[in-house]
Amino acid sequence: MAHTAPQRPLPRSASVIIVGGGIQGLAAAYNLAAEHRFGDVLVLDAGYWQGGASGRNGSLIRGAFGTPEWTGLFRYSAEQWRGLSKRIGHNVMFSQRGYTMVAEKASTAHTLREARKVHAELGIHSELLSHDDIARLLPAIDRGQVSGALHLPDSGIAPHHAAMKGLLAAAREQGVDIRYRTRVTAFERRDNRIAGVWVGDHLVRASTVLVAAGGHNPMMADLAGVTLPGHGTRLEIMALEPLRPVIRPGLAIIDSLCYLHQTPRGEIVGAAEAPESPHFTLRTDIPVMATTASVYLRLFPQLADVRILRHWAGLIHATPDYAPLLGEHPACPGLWFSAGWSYGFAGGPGAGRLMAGAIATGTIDPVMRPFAIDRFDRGMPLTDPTLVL
Amino acid sequence: MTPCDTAFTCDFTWNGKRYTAQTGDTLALALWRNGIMALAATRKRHLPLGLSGSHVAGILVRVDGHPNVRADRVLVHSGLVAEAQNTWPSPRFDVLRLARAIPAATVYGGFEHSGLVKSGSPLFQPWERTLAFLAGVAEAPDASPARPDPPAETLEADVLVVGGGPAGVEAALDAAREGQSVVLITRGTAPAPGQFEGLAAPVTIRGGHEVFGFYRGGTLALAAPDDPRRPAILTRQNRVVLATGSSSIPPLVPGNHLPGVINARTALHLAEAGAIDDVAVVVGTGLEDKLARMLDSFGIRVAAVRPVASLSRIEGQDRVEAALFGRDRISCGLVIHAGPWIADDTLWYQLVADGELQLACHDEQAAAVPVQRVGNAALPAEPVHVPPGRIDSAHACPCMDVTVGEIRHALGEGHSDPEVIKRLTGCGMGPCQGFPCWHQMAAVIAHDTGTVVATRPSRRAPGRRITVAQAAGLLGLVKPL
Ligand SMILES: Cc1cc2nc3c(=O)[nH]c(=O)nc-3n(C[C@H](O)[C@H](O)[C@H](O)COP(=O)(O)OP(=O)(O)OC[C@H]3O[C@@H](n4cnc5c(N)ncnc54)[C@H](O)[C@@H]3O)c2cc1C
Repeated sequence: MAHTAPQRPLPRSASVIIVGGGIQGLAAAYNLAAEHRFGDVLVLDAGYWQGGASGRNGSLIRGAFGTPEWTGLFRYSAEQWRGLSKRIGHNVMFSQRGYTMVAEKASTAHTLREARKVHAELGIHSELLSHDDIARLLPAIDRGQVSGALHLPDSGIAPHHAAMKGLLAAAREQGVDIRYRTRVTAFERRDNRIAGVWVGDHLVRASTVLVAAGGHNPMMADLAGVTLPGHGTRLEIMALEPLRPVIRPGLAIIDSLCYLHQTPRGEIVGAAEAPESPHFTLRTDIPVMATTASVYLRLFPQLADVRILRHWAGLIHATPDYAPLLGEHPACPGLWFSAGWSYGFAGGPGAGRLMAGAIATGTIDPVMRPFAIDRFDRGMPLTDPTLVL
Repeated sequence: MTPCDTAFTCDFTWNGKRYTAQTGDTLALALWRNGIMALAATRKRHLPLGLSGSHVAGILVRVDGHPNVRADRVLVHSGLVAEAQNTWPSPRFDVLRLARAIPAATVYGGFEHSGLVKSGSPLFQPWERTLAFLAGVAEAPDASPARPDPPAETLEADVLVVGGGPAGVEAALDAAREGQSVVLITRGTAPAPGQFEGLAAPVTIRGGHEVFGFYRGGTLALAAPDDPRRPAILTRQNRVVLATGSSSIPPLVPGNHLPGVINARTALHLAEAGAIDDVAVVVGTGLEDKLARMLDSFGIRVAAVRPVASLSRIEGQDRVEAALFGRDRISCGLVIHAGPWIADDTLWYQLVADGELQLACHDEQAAAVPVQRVGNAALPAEPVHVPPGRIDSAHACPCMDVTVGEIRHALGEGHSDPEVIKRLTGCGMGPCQGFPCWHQMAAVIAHDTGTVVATRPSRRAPGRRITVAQAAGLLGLVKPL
């Protein structure tokens, strides 16, 4: 690339190499260096800073789901978000403005009541909203369309630009060496173990490699000669032109498979899913825009004449249960994955810390354990009824 | 709604005061005739913006309870109520104007990179609400009852021609003579239909619509009408001709955001309407003499005609008051630019771009249909001149309120990747989605680092062309892949 400043030569070895400088890679790198005092952590990223899904997502941070496993991981991560600015010394602008799951169908309202029970058992603060609560919290929504709503006061959003800026700076301050526009082209294996990665014809040696390459994780697994469930695919999302605040909490409209929030920049950012087969491209298409717009029009008639500012796509790695794959690969000692993320922005600070702990100490935290890479082989998928993506 | 056509004039309200418009005036033109040039304020520092022909933010106003209406596209009707946005508590008494006194450097990064109050502290939630209010610029629309979405119109043809200027008309005629059916969609007035009669194939024409997005390699396109109550258009075609012309982009000098800095096309439009009585200074890259003669024929006083590269600064409080060429200060009310000319390549880019880590034009083969650029749209971009000296206060992107100083600040922190600078500053993320601001940002990066900026932004559709209701009207017309 003509415009990038000439880079220092790559080192010949590192304590840990992290493939991918998205939120997962940066959060793990930060924790390895800051909490476990690893020197020589190297992060390699083929694209530009924020070019992956971590710079293209809906920025929603949800701390509870419908099952104990999902809720355990994401509650932990939401806690990390709440203290993150203080911990890393940079403002990630986490906004604890609450997150509301909205049911249109009566059967979904029932699902939300069941989820509330799970939350109560786990000691998580969540509230079933009354008609009046909805009017107060979501004045813009057409209440005639809503049959139930579950509110998570401790969840919220963080602008991904701010979060990624903070994590990048904090990791660099801890001595992590982070290189963008640097693509990993092959993996080095010795006696079945991982031994390093190749960047073109340059080998960087390391006995531990963490792959956090977002939508490219299945390709990385192929390159490393291991199998990983799931496939890469695009997700699309769009922003409306800025308005002064009309929608306060983050929202998941469960029955319409729609999520949205209004950013600190005033843009209403969100999307509703249109069922398509997997496509691995950053191009956008018409059905998602049309579907999202029709959900907005139905639920927020006030937005009818508001214009769509931009529409873009990002890549994720979708697993059969949409839950992440976290841990060391059973077929290749030393090769770790933070993969399969569909809520990987919300999960970033939590998973980064758990992953660093697992790599540093060799013990897997109970919160992380259900997400093991071989869970499908063991017949233990993690399906959750409250997912929207 | 009573249009102006019965009485030759009609009354409307701007910021609570009554004014008179002439028949057929757009709101921007009517305000201009009444001497009102500052219609909007920049996002962060509330500097005045107006009709420019280059930047959308300067003409977004609230009309009859609808936010962000383009004042240059809405016709005045009797009793129309319009007001400026981004004010508080009211346009007449606007406290937010005090932001003009804030040093520019304190708001670098804008609303998503505010280091002032850290999240986790008790003050953060109220602070964030305030930020969101300031960044929002426009009050939400008045609550309205649910209404059905207008189903989009679908048009199919062998060829889609975008742009109804001479090059577009010629391309449409050529194709139709060869027996290829044509859909021609253009902004502004449609070309006269008579010239397309009796050809070997039909030519369907839609004026007052803007094609804003190509999908699936160019086999599908979307266009939106100026009027938000009318439906969008979906086209299906086997070939695309882009005849979208080129525009003159503003000089990269301090004061370039001021109301009164306008491009050649806007100047001619205002001159034709008899709306200019200010003294003008004309700058350009070669066409400035010709433009000055044309303006002269409309009776407009032109105080100086110079190459744009010799312009060093534009002065004024709420509008242009003088143009400076080195030490030579020329009093004027308008600075009209005729160059550098750059073709907006947004549509072409959408046709040919693909990628997984970054959308990029790998080659023109990425398009699934043949694509041709004709007329001025096919001309290479003229270089943007970066003047020597202190130009930190010049705007690269008035819509997002990003100055040259802010770009230089990012460069100074070691960032030189334009994609990164875009995300740190917001440059190019406003309504124009990168045109012309990307060219100005790229010029500064190239000038300061001595390298050529090879990448382009992902010029994202729809660039605030289509409304939520219009997009909802597309539901079901295109099957998911
Ligand atoms: C439209 C959209 C909306 C979303 N909304 C939300 C939301 O609201 N909340 C939420 O929690 N999550 C959301 N997500 C998901 C979330 O963004 C991702 O799960 C998360 O960002 C994944 O982070 P990551 O670090 O694993 O991957 P990424 O951020 O994608 O980073 C992966 C990096 O790997 C790099 N890479 C790829 N190949 C190579 C290679 N060969 N060598 C070196 N580097 C390589 C890429 O350049 C990239 O930078 C959304 C995703 C999308 C696309």
